[in-house]
Amino acid sequence: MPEPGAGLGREEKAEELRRVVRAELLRWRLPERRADDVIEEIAQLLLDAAEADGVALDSSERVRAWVRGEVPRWRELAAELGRAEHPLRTELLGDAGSRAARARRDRGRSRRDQGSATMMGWLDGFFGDARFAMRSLRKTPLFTVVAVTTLALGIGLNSAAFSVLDGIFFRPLPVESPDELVRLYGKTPDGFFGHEPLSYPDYEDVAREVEGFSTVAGYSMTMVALEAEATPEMVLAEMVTGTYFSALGVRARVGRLIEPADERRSSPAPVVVLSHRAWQRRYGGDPSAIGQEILINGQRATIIGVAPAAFRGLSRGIEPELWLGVTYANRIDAAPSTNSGDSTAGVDRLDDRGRRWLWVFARLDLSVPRAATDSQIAALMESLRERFPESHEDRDLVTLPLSAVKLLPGIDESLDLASLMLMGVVGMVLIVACSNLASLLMARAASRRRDVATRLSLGATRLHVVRQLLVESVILALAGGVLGLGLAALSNRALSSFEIPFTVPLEISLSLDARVVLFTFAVALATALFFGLAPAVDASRTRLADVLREESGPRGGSAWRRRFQSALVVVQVSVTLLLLVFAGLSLRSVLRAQHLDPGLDPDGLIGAILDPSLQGYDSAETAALFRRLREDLESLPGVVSVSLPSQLPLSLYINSDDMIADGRQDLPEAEWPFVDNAAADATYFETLRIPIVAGRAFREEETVDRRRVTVVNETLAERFWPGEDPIGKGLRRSGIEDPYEVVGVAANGKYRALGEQPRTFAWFPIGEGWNARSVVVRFERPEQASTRVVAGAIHAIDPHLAIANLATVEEIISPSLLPVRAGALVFGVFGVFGLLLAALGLYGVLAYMVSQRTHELGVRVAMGANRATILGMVARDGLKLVAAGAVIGLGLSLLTTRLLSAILFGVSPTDAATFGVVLAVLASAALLACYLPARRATRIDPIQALRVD
Amino acid sequence: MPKQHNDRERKKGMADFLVLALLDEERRHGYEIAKLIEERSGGALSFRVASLYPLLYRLEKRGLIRGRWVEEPGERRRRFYSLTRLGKRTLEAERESWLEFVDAVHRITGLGHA
Repeated sequence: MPEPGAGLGREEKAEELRRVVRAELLRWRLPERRADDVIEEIAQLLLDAAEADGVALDSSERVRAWVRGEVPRWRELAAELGRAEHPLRTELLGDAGSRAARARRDRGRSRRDQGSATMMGWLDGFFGDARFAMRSLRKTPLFTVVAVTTLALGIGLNSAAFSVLDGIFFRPLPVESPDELVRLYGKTPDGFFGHEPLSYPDYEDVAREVEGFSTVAGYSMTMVALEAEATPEMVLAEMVTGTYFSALGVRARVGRLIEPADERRSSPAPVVVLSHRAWQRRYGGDPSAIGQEILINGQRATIIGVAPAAFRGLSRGIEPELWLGVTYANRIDAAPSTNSGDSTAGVDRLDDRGRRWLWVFARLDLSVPRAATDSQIAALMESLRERFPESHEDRDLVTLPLSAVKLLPGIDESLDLASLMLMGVVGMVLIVACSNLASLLMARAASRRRDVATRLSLGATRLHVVRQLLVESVILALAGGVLGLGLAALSNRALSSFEIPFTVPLEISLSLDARVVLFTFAVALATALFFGLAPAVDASRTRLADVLREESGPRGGSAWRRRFQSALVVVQVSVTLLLLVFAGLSLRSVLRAQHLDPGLDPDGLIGAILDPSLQGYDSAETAALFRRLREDLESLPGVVSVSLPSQLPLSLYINSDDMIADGRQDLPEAEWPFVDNAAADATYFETLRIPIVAGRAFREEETVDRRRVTVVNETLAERFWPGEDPIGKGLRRSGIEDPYEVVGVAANGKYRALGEQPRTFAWFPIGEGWNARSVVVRFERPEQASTRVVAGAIHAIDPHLAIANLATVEEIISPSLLPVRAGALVFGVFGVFGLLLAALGLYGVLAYMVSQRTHELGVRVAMGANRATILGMVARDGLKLVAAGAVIGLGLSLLTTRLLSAILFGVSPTDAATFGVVLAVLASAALLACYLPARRATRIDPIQALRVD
Repeated sequence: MPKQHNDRERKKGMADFLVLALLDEERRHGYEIAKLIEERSGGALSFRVASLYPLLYRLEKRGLIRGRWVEEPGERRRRFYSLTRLGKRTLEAERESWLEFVDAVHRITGLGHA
């Protein structure tokens, strides 16, 4: 090692170096901490280097020259040290976390840069970004949880609602080439339902004459008493033509299905195809069930096969237990007698042109032009109108694609409305969720503007920065999506296991559909990407200097962002208000309904329906059975009274006739009011505890002889004889010669639905001619009421007798509450989520605004503004948005709640109390959401806020 | 402009790696590190005080190395650096990923593994 210069001693050189270094570093704002250490070491290094290079530092001049050569730009060196001192500036995130994390990240970054030319490098970079994003999301748990929850709720609710609708209406039926199938409806200009079934002869004509149909088939629903290795039950059956299964292209799971040969009227024993579900439940899926005999309405039938599991007939939501040949209709009609008033008894249903009961569909022969088919149909109808003017006047035939019909064209409209509303509600929640996510992401991006800009100025490419943010958004969307799907799966399972109380078994198969999942994922991803990326690109375009200037100066650049976020809050608040109003109205409806007086006392009341004629009883046997049943039931312990009316109110069986007050029958019958009515016995009113407000109930002998007497309800009495005493007046019934004398007036009740407006109702004596009757048993104490006891009494008389609808009357009348309960549940759930999301959104935006205004608020505090002023200022900002949203939401509500009126009762769609409560709830949530950030604003430390960095 | 930044970042990342590797053998003082890098690279890489010191400063700030003033008999007072536990772990990881990278480059370019 060469001898150092002679002019300066070793220690003097070092001292001189220290002086130079200190002077230079001080010019460039040396890090204060360890300043002496830094100076010392740089001086030592310079000395080492000089010695190694053999440079003689023998004068102050030479020392300075040497230092200049070795460190040409002190400014840069100082900046490097400063950056090492404040690693925050170089990181993307505000707080960079542990040193280990930083070390790993740096490693990832340098590797990424090296490999960036290759795909592998890019992928590697992606995973690096993903790891980084995960870490940064973990560091802001509140943001992450809120964002993911928001997305999950949006996606989950959306998927669940879609699944329900899809399960009921939209899923293609599991048949071969469903697009080749069309439904055929009879149509008359004044037809009540607009679309009617066909008669069997008409069906045969269509099958024979129309060449454009390769196969024509028909079916009809009926309830039958089924006895198969267990107590008899009433089950839903479909009577089908022999072409039914082949037209649909459905193949047997086991055995064979019904074929044209089975349709022969002379076929000795009817054959039965079981649904897959019935086969599983009754025979445990045992193939030996094929060939076994069962009793259908007391008659032998042979099981020939099982339908595939997915096939549940063509009526969506309703699953038949079994299929019978269509000729079975004749056996039903051949039963010894039918209910009074049915004039078609004795006529072979399959030959009757005027009896329309068969729902017909056809498979198109694609080789025949559609126009040819249409003209063949027109020609056929023309000839039918000519040949059968009485039954076919003005009658036409319409075809509709299978997929265009959900239940029935006339009913579909209201179903469409219901689905539309459900989708509307879901859409609203999705809007709230997405706007929430958007404002969260924007606030986050804004708080990172500075970091992004700093990072860019330090050499990160814009692509890197954008990719980084993009990866984070994708991770958020994926996490939200996965969680949301879990939510949807859960809700589907809950809904599927929920048994809908209804007279026929409803079957809704719910499963997550790939399209649904994709759709919702796409929406969430698009939201996350757009609102996560747009601010990122925006930030990546800005330069550090601008950002820093903006930070302490006026907030011009972020104004559009604040305006946008404010708009989002307004949207959220208005949509939430709408949801809450819907929820409030439905809820009030439900509460109302529970307090609605059905007009009878259901506690301790058991009901059932019996139709012994289905099982071969003739009129006399039926009458004897009912007489004996009454005696047996009355003698049971705990039973107070028994009634056997034609039907129960609110049980979905409705009978209506044209009626008029005696003396006014000169009015054309078409103008007589339609009056719901039922046939009752002498014990009916006391058993159901329907008060008689004037006159009396029926007497025993009146019902046995079916005398011309009637009991009417108060509404009928008021409408028919306003201001008069109805007792002793005559009531005329269309088609019956003599008037009925009013002997009593019963208190008003509910007859079709709990929510209905008061409607007219009349009872007539039941007599003994009715085949199907309800059995109502009043127990002394409600806890004694048991369906088992009633069933036991029935089967003690005839163990093969099928009992339908055996349940408490409470259960029997509950379906009439179903729509409003479902509405309250759906709107309630969605409304609460909406409120939660909107409150979170409002909080997020206000918290962000406060953080943006820290400087300004600090100045105000420093200038002596008191707590209340600051609190008021911030809260006012938030409440202004809430007020704007509330006004819009109120307007929307007033415009749309009319849609709800179908399921609301006792509550006006513009119910002031509901609107008031909803506004109060929204206002409280809004106040809380405003208060928290406002309180934070009052705690701003002016010193800290004003510190310039 | 951005390209220059990239080069600088790359070099910085590389230099971290080299310094950590040298300190893995034994504790060294700043100038010794610079000299070793220059020698072992056959002069291809060299550091001047202006680039060396901020590097050491940063590594120490990040807890990868620790410096201590030592005054050995007959020598000037110098700051000697050694790896911290975190530094050792980081070096391990760096080595691994470097090998992976080199390996990958080799596999793709057909260098090595002939």
